[in-house]
Amino acid sequence: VAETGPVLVIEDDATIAGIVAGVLGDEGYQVVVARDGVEALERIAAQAPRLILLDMRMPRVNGWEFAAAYRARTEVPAPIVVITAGRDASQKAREIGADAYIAKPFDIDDVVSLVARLVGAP
Amino acid sequence: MAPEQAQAYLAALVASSEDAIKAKTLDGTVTVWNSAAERLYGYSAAEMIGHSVSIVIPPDLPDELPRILARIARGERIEHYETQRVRKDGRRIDVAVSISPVRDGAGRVIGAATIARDITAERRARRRQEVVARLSRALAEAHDDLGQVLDSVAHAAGAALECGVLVHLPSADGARLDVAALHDPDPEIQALWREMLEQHPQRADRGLAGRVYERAEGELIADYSLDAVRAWAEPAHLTYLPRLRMRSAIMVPARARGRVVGVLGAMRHPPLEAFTREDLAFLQDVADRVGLAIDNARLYVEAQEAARLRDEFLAVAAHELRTPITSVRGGAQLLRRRVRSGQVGREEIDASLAQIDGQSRRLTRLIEQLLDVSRLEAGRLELEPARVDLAALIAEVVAARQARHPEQRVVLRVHEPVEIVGDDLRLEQVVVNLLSNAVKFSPPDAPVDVEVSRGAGEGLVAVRDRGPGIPPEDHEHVFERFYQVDRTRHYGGMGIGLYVSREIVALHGGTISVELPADGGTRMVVRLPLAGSPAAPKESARRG
Repeated sequence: VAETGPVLVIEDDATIAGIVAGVLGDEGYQVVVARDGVEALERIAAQAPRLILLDMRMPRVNGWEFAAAYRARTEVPAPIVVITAGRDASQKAREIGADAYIAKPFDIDDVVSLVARLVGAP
Repeated sequence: MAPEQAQAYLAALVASSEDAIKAKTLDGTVTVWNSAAERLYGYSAAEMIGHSVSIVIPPDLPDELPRILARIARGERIEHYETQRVRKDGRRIDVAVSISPVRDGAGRVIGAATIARDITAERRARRRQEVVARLSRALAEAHDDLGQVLDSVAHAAGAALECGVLVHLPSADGARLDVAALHDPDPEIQALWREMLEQHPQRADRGLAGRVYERAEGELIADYSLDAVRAWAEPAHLTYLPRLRMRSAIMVPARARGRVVGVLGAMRHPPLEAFTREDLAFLQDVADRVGLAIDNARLYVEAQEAARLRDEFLAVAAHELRTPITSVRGGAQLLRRRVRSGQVGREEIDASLAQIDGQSRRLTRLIEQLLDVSRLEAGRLELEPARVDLAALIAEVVAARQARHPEQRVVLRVHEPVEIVGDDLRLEQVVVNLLSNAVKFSPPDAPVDVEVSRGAGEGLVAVRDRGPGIPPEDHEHVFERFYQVDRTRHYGGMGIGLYVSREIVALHGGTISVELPADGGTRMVVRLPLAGSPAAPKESARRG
């Protein structure tokens, strides 16, 4: 895992993506945002992330497809945190072998502490 | 009265009795056989007197006669004992017998006197009542396993009528009558019967079953013969029918709410008697209950499907509502963090609050959409129709959208005013729905085409995108409540936009349909009656 790479936020809702990127940026993390799985794979090709926050239901390549494609092309994948507004966030996290999950709506303090726990301080 | 006089009276009573009266010695040799006994059993007095009575006892009840004679020998009386006997013609009959010991002058038991009554009809009626009562109870419940229910119906009705029973259900397209249950007391005939109907399915417009299905009236073929059915039987069945050894047949419709939802057939083999009108009435009685069961099963499946759809919808609706709530909550929390740490200016506070305001409005719109669904379901969505220029209305909607989302390319083609009678707010809702769908499914930078034109008696609005298109199998479903083509991919929305749009258009007397242009994408076409055409809604007095 890249110790210094950005946190990649994959989220199709621009407002939510902005909030997550905003609070993590305030904490000092480098953050990259992708609107869906296609864009995410492009960003990863440019720079390996240290952590991925992944929305599941997205247009084009969805969360399931992204996770499969990402793992297939990465030797040491970064931890993945599922962020979902659907039912059974924990089940979705298990389905794709994610390391943690965040159910929407969330408290941004919880996002900050989860990211710190998974990848340490910025 | 002198003994010989009493004897004469007794003899006259025995001779004229409506009940069969017979007597036998303790070893079963017949000594008395009156004319009612001759009628009941089919044997004459000459044939019976001096011979063993065992000839009328069914072979499967070999212990019965010795048991009766043993009790009589002990001096016991047997009152109203119900059993079966065999007539000379081989038919079984139900009888109730009362048997008393006959004593000689010294008081010793020397024989048995029997009075027998034919209770075949009575017992049959009782058995049938029981069958109908049992079926009524079983069929009145909602069942998810209709096949099993119909199977038990076939067995119960077959037992009551001493025959084979078949239950047909129409196929989904109504062309065939499929076998839902089939039972015959003879396993070989049952197998052959099933083979015939599997190899050559019963067409809904052929044969006795087809005739009953079409006419919704029961048929009785008391004396079945191939000649009687040859004219209209399924030709492929003609080679099988003789091997089914049919003596007599009945077909009746199973009806529910005025429609034929199935057909019940009964067939009886020799040496049994022909079916009667009474048997026909009984099977119709059973079929009426089966009709209810079929209807119940259908309602049950529909109710389950509706419940499943509603569950899925609730999951989607919850997802859609959580998204703006996440933005409102996260936006407010982020703003507070920044205010507390003093790293925020007036402009950013203003932008964040505007965003929170915008997301709250989005929540309000989602809730309005949900309420529209419940208004439509309750039939309470009312139009306030007035004269509207569809072309001007759509131009306004497109202009407003372009002002808010200049990055989206919408190409509008309007040639002339298109005057209709409609509710401008509701029509605007339809156009907004179609436009946001088109934009949602379009690749970035691909234009959305909007066209407004006049056809024969109707105004036409077409919204065309260059997205992935809608698979043909989904065309009829996209207007259904809560339907989404792909639930794993998030394009936003609750699966109600097109449903609400179609209902609004229908309230205007118009139609909405999906077209797939040859060069890709989706074209949604709304047709609305022009003002002055008979299909147009009446103008409201309240507005316009």
